[in-house]
Amino acid sequence: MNPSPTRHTSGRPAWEHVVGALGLVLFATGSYVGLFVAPPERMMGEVGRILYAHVPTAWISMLAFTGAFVAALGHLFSGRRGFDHAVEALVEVGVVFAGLLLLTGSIFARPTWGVWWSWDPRLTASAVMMLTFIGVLLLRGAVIDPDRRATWSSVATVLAFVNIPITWFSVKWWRSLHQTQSDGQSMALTMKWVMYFNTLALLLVAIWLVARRWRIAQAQALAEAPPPLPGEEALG
Amino acid sequence: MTVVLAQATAEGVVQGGWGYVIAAYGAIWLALGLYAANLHFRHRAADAASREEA
Repeated sequence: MNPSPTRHTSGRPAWEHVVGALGLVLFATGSYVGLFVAPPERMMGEVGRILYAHVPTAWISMLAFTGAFVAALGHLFSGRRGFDHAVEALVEVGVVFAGLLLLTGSIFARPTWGVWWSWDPRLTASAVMMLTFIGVLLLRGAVIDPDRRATWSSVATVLAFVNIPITWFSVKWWRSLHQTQSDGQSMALTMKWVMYFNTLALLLVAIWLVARRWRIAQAQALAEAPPPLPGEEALG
Repeated sequence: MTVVLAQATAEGVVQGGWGYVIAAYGAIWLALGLYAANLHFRHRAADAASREEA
């Protein structure tokens, strides 16, 4: 007797909990180091410590959206439902991190720029990035038919991804209040490693959240699957 | 810009700001905690629904 597919969504502890626990421990360590051990930034003082959390949220959100883009292409070319679950999970987790990116960026902007928000190219592109992917989630909620939902949201994800390189290069293409990407030479080694450490920690947390969200999508797909036709059960 | 100047010393370094730092880190921890809890309950509900369907 084959185990029910739903059995994988419960029962024994899933691997992602180990990854998530490790990520949380690492981020707790990284938060402590970022808050109390790393040196204050030369111009921004203590406020510069926000960078150690703000920059990783930007990288993780863009990575999640890029993963969603790849999964969307995978679904469009193969039609496999697993890719659609991945799109659903990656977009939602990406939106969470993009929200944190904008929130921490706004908190960072207040003491350094004097404003909570500015319609600066980088900030505007980041806000558009989050809103377009929220649009993908709203589209998914509005389409009932699973096949159409998968196809339409894959197309929407591919279209929304166009803004990712625009967001990344916005600080180079236009005059922006936001600083350009550090080249690695402009940061002290300690500061750089705290940022990389927190990025690794939040990456593990993001993998945990994506895996959890993927399992929800999998369970929901099972729940909305049509009942087997008479005779199909006997055929197995 | 004027507020930035008001918060900077003569050396041009932003002074203080620990409240902003704590708010930023606190927001991340709070949001991730709430989202993880949200996923936990949604997973339980989806799992129960898929069991009923099976």
